[in-house]
Amino acid sequence: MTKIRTKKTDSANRRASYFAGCEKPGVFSGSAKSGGPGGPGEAGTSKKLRFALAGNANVGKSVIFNYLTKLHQHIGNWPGKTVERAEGTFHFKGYEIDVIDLPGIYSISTYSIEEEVTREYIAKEKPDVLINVVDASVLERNLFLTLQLMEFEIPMVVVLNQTDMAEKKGIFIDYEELTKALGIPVIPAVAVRGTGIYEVVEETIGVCLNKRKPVKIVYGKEIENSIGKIEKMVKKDASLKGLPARWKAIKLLEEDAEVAGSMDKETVAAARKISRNIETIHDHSCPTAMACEKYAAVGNIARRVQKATIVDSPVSSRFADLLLHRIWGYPIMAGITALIFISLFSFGNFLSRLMEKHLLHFVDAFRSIAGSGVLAGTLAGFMEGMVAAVTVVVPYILPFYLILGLLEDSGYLARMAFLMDSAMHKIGLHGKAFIPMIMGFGCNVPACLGCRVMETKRERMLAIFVTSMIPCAAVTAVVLGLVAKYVSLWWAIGLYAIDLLIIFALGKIAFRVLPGESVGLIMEIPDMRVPQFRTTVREAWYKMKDFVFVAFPIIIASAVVINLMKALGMLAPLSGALYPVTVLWLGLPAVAGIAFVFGIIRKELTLIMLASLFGTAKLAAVMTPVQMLVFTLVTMLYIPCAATIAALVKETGWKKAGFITVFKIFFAILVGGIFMRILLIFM
Amino acid sequence: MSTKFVWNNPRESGAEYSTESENVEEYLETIYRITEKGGRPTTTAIAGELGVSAPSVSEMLRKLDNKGYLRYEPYGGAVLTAKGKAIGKTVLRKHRLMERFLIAIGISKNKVHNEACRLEHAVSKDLESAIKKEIGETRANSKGMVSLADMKPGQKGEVVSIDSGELAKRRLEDMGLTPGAEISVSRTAPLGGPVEIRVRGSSLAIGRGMAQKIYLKVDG
Repeated sequence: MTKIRTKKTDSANRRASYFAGCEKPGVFSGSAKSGGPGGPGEAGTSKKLRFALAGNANVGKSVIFNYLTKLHQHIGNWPGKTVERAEGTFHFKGYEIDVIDLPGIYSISTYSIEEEVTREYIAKEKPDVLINVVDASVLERNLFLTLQLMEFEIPMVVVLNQTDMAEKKGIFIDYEELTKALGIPVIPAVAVRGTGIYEVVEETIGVCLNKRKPVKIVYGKEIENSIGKIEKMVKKDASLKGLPARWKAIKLLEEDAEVAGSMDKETVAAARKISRNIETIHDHSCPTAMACEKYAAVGNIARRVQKATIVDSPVSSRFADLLLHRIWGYPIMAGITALIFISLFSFGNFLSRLMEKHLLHFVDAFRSIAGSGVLAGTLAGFMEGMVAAVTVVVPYILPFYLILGLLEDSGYLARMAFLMDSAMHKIGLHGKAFIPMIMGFGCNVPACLGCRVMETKRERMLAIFVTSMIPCAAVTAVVLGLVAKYVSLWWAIGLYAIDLLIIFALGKIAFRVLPGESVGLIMEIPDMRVPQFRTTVREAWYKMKDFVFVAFPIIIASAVVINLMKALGMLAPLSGALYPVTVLWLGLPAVAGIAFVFGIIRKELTLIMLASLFGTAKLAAVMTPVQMLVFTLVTMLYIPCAATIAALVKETGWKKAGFITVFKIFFAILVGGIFMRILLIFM
Repeated sequence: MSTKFVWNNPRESGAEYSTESENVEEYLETIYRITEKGGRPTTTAIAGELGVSAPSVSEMLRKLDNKGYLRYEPYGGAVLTAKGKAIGKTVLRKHRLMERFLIAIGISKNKVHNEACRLEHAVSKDLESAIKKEIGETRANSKGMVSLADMKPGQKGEVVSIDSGELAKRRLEDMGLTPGAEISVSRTAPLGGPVEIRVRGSSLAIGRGMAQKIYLKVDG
């Protein structure tokens, strides 16, 4: 590979060769084993390289990632963390290149789980090169992260993305000057159109081969002195091997808890003394002083390379203003939300019903042939579980991921969060939790998965806890089919009100009890833009696949166990065992216990099982209104369905998912019993 | 929140002065502050904050446990009781008020913390409300400081300080809200909703509660 920027290549020429390569597998393909027309020097041999894409949120990292890896990608989770890990492979001029798309972040601290993940990856797994994607229209803020990435002293390139958008706003960046300032190649690109990506890959490989490290950004004199002093001490300290001493020194000055925790106590104490000194000079706490220094450095660079002219605000920005309007913003949002909700769930319901009808036919047919032996029961359970899993995942999860992706990518999600923030604060959440919560009324599963939009662990936990309690469509079916039909519509609405009140109260309590600092809403509002449909579809597809792996085993296993119990004749003893709870405490018929057990597979099964266990669809003849109300309230509260439990496991881990589940069972029983006793006074 | 605790009353009336109780206040404040930041108030953490030795911290924590201000588990750290929490919160509030007051009267920022540490124990309720009236709860004070929550769309200002927990403060700084940064308010959402600002070329939404803790110097 030639040296970087020794000559200016004809960019039109390059692009032509890129498009040619795109057609033919070989130059730039996700499938060919070895290179095509041959990279200089390395032709024929398949050398491995590892690229890592890093940058702020909404800068087009995923677009570049998708462009490079096409279908050869895998989206999973970082081990032990609920952050997406997207990896892929492609071939270029004889190189086999693994790409990892790191989560979008603003800084390398440990504010969000995403930041932790990025930092750990760069520190421990050491990619060959970092590709820092930068939004050209928000250069200064983006370079703040660039600066921190440079401090890892790993070969690096900067992709100056969305230059077209920036130019529309009147922002022009001299990228050659920026290359000089940072000492790393800066390549302008418009990723959505594929412009500049070929150059990015070429330059990146060049940087890899050169092992050229970024230049050192020099801070103010007293800060540099302090860094130098701490660096010397840090060098004697053997902890955190593999990370540059300067990085560790800077992190100690930033009072980074994790770095401080893994260094020797004396080093940390000595660094603290030095940072106190900085505090006296700068009149701010040392971490604040460091942030100021970084932004000062970045601001200088930005001023040097950026020419901004003021342009008239385009029509698109006036439209964006309307979306956030103090009055008009709300009806527009209500309209969009309603549209999404109705289309998602009417479509989902339709598809789910359709699939269920045909698939359950199949299960019934199997049952009638195979009889009711243990093996047949197990198999039927397996099939029933499959049906439950398939009819949730395909009709609800895939469209949900798609819509959430489009909302996020277009920039509207941030605007909804802005408008709904004060309302969501009333239940201890903030604006970003609005969409997951609304989705919860349709199905809790996408609601739980959607809580990933929350950034800190605490907020994510809170949002998941609340959204997993929202009465979903299946619960609504029970409310309508039992209470509205046999008691009264007012009572159905009343039950909803009680449930929402309980959610409200529990949300508030959880807000107080959960440890950690509440940060509220601190969120970037990106520009509105046309979403990248292909990227979003692909992401939704891979995310769904990832969910299938977690959810299917749990849903199917629970169906198998319950059906096996039925086949083994354990249901009668079970309802006997539940007798003290169902009959004595809740005042329900004994068969209710079995109905509850079946409700774990799908909530609407509680009602279906009740009818089949009583042997009549006329439930008014066998249950009193009080029993119906208590039964329905307990169904609303008692346990997340198997698919939701699967989602909880995926998002929070087994321990917390187990805790939420067990908590809800006891809580529902407690509330149900009290509710029954209150009702008996009046009815 | 009303904070009535018998223990604080003698000093509020100015009749008694006890370094013993001052020390207690300092500890409770520190523990409260560490907990508020989301940290764990271990003996070492407290010792580090107060600049005293770990053994003397554990001794003091045991004393405070006996008096019912907190629960202390050796090696586990301290957990404030409701009583301890109320005191910690009040003292921290007074501390922050004193800091703002001292800045307003022109004391250098790096000296403010230590001064406030001494003064916070002597502030009575009357004095507290008098100072509040003077420098304003969130309104502009004599130096033109104003909280972000009180700014109008179109207004511009320069960040002076962020008075929130450590986590939020770092986040805001990472997003570009460092002291000295120029911002302008684009819009505010109705009914106590968030504030949208422009800072360093980007748009940020900040919840109203957080916005109240961000102080700016407004020109004109």
